[in-house]
Amino acid sequence: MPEKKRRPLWLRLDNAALIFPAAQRRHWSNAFRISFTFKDPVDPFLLSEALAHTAPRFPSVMVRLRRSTFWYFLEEVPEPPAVREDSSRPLVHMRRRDVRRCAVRVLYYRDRMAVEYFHSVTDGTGALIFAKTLAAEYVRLAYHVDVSCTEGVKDLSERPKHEELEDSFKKHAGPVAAPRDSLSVYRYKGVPEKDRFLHVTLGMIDSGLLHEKSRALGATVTAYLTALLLDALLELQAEQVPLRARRKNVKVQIPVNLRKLFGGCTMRNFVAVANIGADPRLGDYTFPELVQIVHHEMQLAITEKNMRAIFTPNVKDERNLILKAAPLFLKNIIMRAVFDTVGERVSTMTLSNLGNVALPKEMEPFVERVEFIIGPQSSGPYNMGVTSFHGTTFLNLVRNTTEPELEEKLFTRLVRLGFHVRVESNDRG
Amino acid sequence: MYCIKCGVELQEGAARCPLCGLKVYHPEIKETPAPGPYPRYTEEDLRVKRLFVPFVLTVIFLIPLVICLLVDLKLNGGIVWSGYVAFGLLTLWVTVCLPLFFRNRNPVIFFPIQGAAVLLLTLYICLKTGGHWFLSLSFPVGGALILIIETVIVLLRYVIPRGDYRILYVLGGAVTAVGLLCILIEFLIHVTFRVPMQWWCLYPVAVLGLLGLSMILTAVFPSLRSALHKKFFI
Repeated sequence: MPEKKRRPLWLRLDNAALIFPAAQRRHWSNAFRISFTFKDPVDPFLLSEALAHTAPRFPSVMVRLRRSTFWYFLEEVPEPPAVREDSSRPLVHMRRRDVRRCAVRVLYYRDRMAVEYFHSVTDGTGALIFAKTLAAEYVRLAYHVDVSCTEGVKDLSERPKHEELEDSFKKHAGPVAAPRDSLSVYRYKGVPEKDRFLHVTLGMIDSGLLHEKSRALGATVTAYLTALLLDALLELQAEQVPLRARRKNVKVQIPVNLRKLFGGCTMRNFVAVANIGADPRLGDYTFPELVQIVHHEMQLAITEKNMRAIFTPNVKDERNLILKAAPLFLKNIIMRAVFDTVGERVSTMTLSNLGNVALPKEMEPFVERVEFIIGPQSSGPYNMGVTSFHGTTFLNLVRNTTEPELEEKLFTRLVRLGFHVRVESNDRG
Repeated sequence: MYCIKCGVELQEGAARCPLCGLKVYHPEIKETPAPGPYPRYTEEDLRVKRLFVPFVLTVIFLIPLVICLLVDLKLNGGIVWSGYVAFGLLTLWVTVCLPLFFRNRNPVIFFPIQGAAVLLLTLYICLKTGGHWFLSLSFPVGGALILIIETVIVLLRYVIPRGDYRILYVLGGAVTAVGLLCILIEFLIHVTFRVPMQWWCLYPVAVLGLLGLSMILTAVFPSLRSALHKKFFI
């Protein structure tokens, strides 16, 4: 008897994912990418095979975005998309029709495999688990090594657990909603690239030294890097706005993995952001001062209570009966307005740190790098993704303007602080 | 290799520092180009962007065209005045929109096409109004003007380098030719409409002739060129 064909799984968008389809523009979509660089060139046929084996285990990741009358929803794709060769720029714009086919791309170039995600699908943590599992399966096929299902690599013979598919925002929303941040902040504006070319500048530094220097100032690596970024942004603003009284707050948005605070193992979005910054009108800051400001602000902001209060208003809005009954096109207008006013305007740029990436020890010898790149904001040219792997920290700074002003300030600061910085880019020369 | 300005280590084969743009150079190390972390830049994504604008413009052109044709058909039972709109829009579309469909918008090719569209419009007006002036006036005048401008475009594009003083010969010759064309225009008006010769053409001939001649003289005498440059440089 022929096996009955399973109906594709479909899911409502989680609370954080709702905003991204509405905020999508003709030339911009909120996307990010995780890449694994292997010791040898990637075999696209084996990568396709690995993807075919991995996709059924992640029905909430290998999805396409579809519309209904009132909401968007995600639907499992019948077959995983073909793996494609990478482009000269990462995160080539995901057009609406691309996302309607599949909201995830798997790419290869020389010795690198990359997975690019539309943000409605998952967040950095979920994306890393999927990419790790895919890479592990690729290593199994390419090197005939038995990779254990540890360090986040999922067992492909298992069915996905219910908790992996849940919307954790709804589960953990509380009664108290914090007011939304509406402070006007410094927004860097450069000369946009005419063809929207996305420049990626990768800086590689020693993780051990970074830990040591962060600890010496009593801060975490994320706080240290955020302070460094703030320092560079403050100098950039000082050059562009000489009159101190006219300068605005500089804020860096730090995504916080809520699984660490609330528990759970959802493969969908479960992230909230903390906006950390400094006011340049108060005077100049020394670097240790900035580290202390960032460290303490982060300590205050990243608590279970505060994070719950930050995502609760969004859940309340989603539960609002009037909003629920509004047709999708009307919701899109409202959500886009919300995104433009409180989504991006409240921060100068984003720094997302995935932290130290641990892999099962069997696959470690075959992997050289794990990188994380987040796309630029719709109206801000810069963003930064950070990962650490094998004792190296990878700082990926993206930009869609012509001048590498922030990159120069950031990486030369690291050099002055005593780091040996190796730089790579997709410069067009 | 390191950037001597920023102090960062650069990727193998980098031609310049991605931070400050400084060229990478070491007298004793010969850098050989190495594959970068991403494939070479291509314009693969621009095709969609390039075709989107002319496509939307074409739709915008089609909307008034269809409305006018329908209204004309409804009111007059045939094409009475909407033909003028249609040919006018076609001329505008050929001028504005057609080049946008192509990456290489060579004026040597597009200008005669645009000129032909204008001539087509005049032919339609001539036929619709029962006139007899297309072959005796519109076609020779339009044709001559297209020929003069096309010659200038070809010379400037393929013969004379940019910034070369010999451009003055071309422009001087073209201005003089347009002046002489005025004589032809008045003569053809005289022949076509039986209007007596007023010799108004001598005014533009004199002005354009002097202008053209002064350009040619400026091109001939380097000292004059230099004096004018000193007086009027920007």
